[in-house]
Amino acid sequence: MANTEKKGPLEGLKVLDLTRVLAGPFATMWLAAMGADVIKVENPNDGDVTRQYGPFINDRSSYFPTVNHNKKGITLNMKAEEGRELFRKLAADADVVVENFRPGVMENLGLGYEDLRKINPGIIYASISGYGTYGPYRNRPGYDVTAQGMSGIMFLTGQMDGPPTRVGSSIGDTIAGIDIVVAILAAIYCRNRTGKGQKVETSLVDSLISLSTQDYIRFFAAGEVPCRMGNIYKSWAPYGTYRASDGYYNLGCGTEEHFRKFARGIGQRWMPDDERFSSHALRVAYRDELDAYINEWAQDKTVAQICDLMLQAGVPCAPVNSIVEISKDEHIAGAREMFPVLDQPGMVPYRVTNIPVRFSESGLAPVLPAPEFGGDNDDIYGALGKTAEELKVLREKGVI
Amino acid sequence: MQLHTEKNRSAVLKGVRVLDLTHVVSGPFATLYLSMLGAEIIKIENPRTQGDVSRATGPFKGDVSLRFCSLNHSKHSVALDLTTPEGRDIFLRMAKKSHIVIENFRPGVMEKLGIGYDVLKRENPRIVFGSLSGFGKDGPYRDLPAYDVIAQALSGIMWLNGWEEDPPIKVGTSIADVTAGLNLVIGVLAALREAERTGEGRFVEVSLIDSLVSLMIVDNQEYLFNGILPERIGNNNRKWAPYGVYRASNGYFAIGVGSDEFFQRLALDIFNRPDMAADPRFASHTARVEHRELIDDVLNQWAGTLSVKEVCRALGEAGIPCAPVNTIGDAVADEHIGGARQMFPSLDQEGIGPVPVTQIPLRIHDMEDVPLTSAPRLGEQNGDILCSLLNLSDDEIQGLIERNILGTHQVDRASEEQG
Repeated sequence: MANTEKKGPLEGLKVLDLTRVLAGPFATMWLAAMGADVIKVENPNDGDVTRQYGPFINDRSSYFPTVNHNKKGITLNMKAEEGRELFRKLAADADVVVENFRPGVMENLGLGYEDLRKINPGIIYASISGYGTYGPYRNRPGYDVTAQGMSGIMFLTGQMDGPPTRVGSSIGDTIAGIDIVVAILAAIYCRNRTGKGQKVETSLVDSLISLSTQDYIRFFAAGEVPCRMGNIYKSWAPYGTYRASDGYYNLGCGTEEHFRKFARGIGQRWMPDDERFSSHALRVAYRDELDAYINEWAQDKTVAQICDLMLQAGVPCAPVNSIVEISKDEHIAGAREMFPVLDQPGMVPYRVTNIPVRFSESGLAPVLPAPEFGGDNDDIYGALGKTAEELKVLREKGVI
Repeated sequence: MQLHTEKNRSAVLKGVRVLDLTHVVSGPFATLYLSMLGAEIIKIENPRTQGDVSRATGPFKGDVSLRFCSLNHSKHSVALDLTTPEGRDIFLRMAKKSHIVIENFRPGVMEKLGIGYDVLKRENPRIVFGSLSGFGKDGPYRDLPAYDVIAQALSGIMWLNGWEEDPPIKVGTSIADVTAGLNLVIGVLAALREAERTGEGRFVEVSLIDSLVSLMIVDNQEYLFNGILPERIGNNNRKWAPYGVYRASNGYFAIGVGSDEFFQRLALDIFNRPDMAADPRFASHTARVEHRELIDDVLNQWAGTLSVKEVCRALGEAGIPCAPVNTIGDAVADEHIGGARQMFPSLDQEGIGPVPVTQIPLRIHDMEDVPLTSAPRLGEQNGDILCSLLNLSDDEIQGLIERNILGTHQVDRASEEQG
């Protein structure tokens, strides 16, 4: 369905992208993948810091193109009045502005939402920050790790007797990026009705908290603070992560029928009739003895063999994959096309990670290179009426 | 919410009608999100099975499942038997008057019921059809059952989670379910924009597994690019140090030293160690990662005598990113999160009183927040919706109830603990 000849559902949407690092660029990458025209605006003095992040090939970052492909790139010094004037011209013709500066930065430049709406009442102004644009912590610096700590998700992750554990992927950044895409699209729908734009925002902390709706129920209902459970589930066994001869697999017996199938699968048909293993509650109480049977059965088998046997027996089971297996997987990498190839100039073609939505009649945008630093200056400023001579002057003054 | 100048505008998705065929977590999370943005959600439940299985899942207050409430408040419920020709006909008539249909059945179920996308599209060419499943509508795994934990295992996120010497660890929340829900919201809103422009709707789909794989974009890159497999590193960061979780005298805190300047402040303002500030072993990210243990020793020594609160105050004054590792209780009590950002509003659930729930994280300035309303009883809006939307008379509705095509509410309180 990722047919590249079909046009994306956001075709014609013009986005000015002031974001850097991960949360914001991930959001605008989503918009670009769905067909929007994204112009990434970078400071001519340093640009997006991830242009310096490895791994490198030919001294070129692979990190930057991973989240910035399919965008155009211009440089603009918004601290110079001439730069601000150019930005206002661009904003007059844009549908969306996205930024992830600390709150107040755009206002201090005279380019906050209130300034921009005067030029373009339909503009949608989207802001991502560590803690949001209001509230006592609004001026605090925030990273993924602080958002994970603050939100409670870190407290819930890890072994029962171990320390709180950071989720091993920067989900504070990526989830906030997804949330701001939702907000932008909802605001576009509203603008089609009313003709007016608006300012939308999310924060890394709020985004992570909103994921945990389910985890909060018990606290709200009975004041119980949920704790780390490792990989187990406190009411079911066997359920969790087990070791095979060459790696780990997950096993989930959620019903008595699953357990009967499981017992047959490991050649211990007697188990469901044994008093100790006759209900979830008892199996949880005798978990160690149960696990001993599982581990003995599994020790000389590979993860692949175990998953085959369990799935044949009708028991939910999956390997604990690393990216090595995923990148070769016939379903994920194959049929679902989650890793398309990016042919970035100056580098060998390499694979990037796709967005996960698919449309019946619309394609995702073809994967095009990330912009060179200021690579689209001539085209985009040219379209604003700047002559080659004027561009040369702007370049000399450090405005672009 | 604060900072608004005019609070007289209606919610952003006002006027959008969604037929919600979802159950359990992922789909209901998506439609909850749409309802919080102002869309009208009509949850269609199977009267023969007493509706969404979450209704029978604890914890309960009175005879109401708080789990169901937290994911389904601010929606309407119609209990309609889609396996009957009459029920199917009513659904198709409702689809003609709606913008979006969302479902999270196993692939093939909608087609078997005779209400797949091709059928709905004939009835309403503008309809946006959002589909959420474990593995997607195509590919070799499409028919496998999936739980959140299965998607976590397959996607690689679990493999990255935890400590070097320990087994992989599950993310402590249902990250696959909620991320897929969020991604589907994006998909249907993008398709809605296209339907508005072109008059043609779209089929949009997302899977639990693809959603997690996409979230791991940066983690995947190192391997995709040069074949180097990232390992589990607990709370550390591959590129920055100190960056992670440390222990104070009474708990844990997170710190992120993401620039040389932050490290200078840490060495000078916090440790009072000008020698460390000038030491080439700590002069860059790469150097600090290499000598992480030396920094950790000093950091642990400093923090070990202080409370989490004292640590965060001191680091905060120095402008260094830090946060307590909060429990859910801490986050709820927090003046910023539970306070100013109002992440835990209360809804007045009919029959049981106030129920705190978790808010979506979007703030739309100058716009009224959507008021929270009770989670519906099974089939609570049967009459209202069939009457207002399809002009059915009371007699016709009564007839549907008698023929068991429309359900009526019955209390069915199952076991306290279910998945």
